[in-house]
Amino acid sequence: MATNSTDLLVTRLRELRRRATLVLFAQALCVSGAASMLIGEALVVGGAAQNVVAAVVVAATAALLTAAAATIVLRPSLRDIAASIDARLHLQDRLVTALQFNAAVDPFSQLVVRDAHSRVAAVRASDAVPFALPLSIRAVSAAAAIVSAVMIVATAEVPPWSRAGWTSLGGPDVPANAAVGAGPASSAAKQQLNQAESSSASANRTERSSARQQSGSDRTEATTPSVQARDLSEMVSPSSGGTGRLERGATARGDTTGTDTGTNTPDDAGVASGGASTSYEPRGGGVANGTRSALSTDTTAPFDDPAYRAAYLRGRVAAESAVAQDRVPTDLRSYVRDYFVAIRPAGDK
Amino acid sequence: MRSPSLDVVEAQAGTFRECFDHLRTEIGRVFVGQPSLVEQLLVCFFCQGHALLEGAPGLGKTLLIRTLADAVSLRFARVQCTPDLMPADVTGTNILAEAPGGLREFAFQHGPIFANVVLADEINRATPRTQSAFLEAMQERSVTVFGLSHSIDEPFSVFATQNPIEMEGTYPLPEAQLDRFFFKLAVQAPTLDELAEIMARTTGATPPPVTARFGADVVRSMAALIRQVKIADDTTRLVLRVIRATHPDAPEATDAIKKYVRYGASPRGAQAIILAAKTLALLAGRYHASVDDVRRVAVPALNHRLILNFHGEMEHAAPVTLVEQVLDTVLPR
Repeated sequence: MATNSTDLLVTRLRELRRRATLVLFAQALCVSGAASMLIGEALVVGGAAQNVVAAVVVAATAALLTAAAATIVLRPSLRDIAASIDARLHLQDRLVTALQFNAAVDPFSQLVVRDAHSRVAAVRASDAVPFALPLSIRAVSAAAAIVSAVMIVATAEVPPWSRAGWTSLGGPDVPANAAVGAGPASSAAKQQLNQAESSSASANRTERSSARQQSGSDRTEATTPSVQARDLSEMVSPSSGGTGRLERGATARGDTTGTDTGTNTPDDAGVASGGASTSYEPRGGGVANGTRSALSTDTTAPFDDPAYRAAYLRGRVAAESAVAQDRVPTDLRSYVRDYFVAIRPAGDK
Repeated sequence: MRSPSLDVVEAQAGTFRECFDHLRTEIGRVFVGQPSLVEQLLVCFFCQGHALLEGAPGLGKTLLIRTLADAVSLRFARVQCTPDLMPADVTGTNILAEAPGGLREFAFQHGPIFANVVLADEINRATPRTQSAFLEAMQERSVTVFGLSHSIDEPFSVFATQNPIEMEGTYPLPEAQLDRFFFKLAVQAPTLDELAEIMARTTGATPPPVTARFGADVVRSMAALIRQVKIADDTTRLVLRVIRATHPDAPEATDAIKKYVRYGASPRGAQAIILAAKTLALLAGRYHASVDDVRRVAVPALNHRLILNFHGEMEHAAPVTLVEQVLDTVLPR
């Protein structure tokens, strides 16, 4: 009888310990999952991880491994389980005492074990070891979820229709992948971009009119200027008066150094009818992509004959049209723009 | 198939609860109110400890002890302590007696300390010399007179009373003697309803009767049963931490202890706490003592074992409050 009670008590406690271990794993997973999620998002946003799916997989794996390791390290002993159940169910230290005396054979020890077993056997496992998260873990998980949601919203890719609608309402164009670099640096870059675009709008219109007169083949753009085309022309045109021209690739990575380190060179003051009296020629210092920087900062382009200029304008208009019709993938638009910046005729604004 | 020994133990535990309830009921017939005081007194009695009852005159201290002795049909002796009380008046002495053959020889005349329940009334009015006569009896349960040791029959409990007021002409008990008391119990003034009940019982025609149902053998067996109650090592260590926390130089000591206490509780305090906790556990139908039991008995077991320093005496620091602070610090809720 006594031995039976002893065995049953230990067996029951082991069952409850398994449940407690699962609960502990779940709690650890909540904490490690939240931490991994935040770290993964930070890596993606910061540019350290390019592949989002891979980052998610790595974060999930890390969370699982961390939770498993924490569970193994913190796995409760039978005595810990007994003490926690005693405290939770107000068992007056029955289980702890019974566990200590379960090997004794004197009548009092046997009575203690029997009493403890009768109590713990009548209790449901969910009452003894509830599957609940402590308030601290819930708070940590909720905070991580909120931060994660904010980061996701802040870094979400803006759909083309949304950008078009926004731009048609008079707002500055938002590059499709410009917002990937969320954070202070990216925000500053976007602000600079908006300022540059808004202040150079009139100058760009003047330039586009001039280009149409010269080429005589850009009727499509003249009648229905596309948002993307305007965006492209703005990016192509180096004389975007204001605070400066923003390197597209740098913006996509949240890197604004390529824009800010350029030398401001007053050029063609008063030419831009829209009031853009200053042009900014970035010298490329600090640009992450050195090749593109060198191309875009070449202010002594050798291509200066009329035939080249005409060919350039035709190609540029074709590219603008392609971009406007969304035939160019979003991620490749910057390369198209950079290309036309690099091959622009000498003296072209 | 149940082990017979388990049935025996369960029957003994049932008898214990029955005896305890009987005594509580019988005392309640005479002594009005203060159930916790009665319970603590009975716990002390069944643990075979000694208790010091402190209270103003006329609150029923003597009546309480007398009723206890009557309810268990044990030998009862009362010693009214006065400054001229001699140790031999307590322990007994050798007297010259005539033997049947005509010879005269010294024979030991037992004093009142040889009763089962001894009431030392107003013990702080006895001289230290007489107070010390109680020391050996209370601790060793024997008395040595003229080189001969005379053992005292079990059960044996000394219940001393003292008056916290009228301290002039008294001899406060030394710390060594205070430490020998299992509990120090405070007798509170009765409430209005209790006072009305006291008047009704004591001014009526017939005094309330007390029935004695069991004697010394039962008390001895109950005391032995209590000691078999289990206590987990964790609980024991908590008790020891409580004891340590009453010492001002211990790391567990509270700020108040460090400020007001000169010396903390002795190991006897831990013994008292554990035994009393076991008694409460058995009374609750359990066969093991818990932390809650410890919490319930710690104050009466420790409040007289804290020796206050100068600051404590000057600022009238209450040992009960100090012990409660220690319990709040050490024992988990």
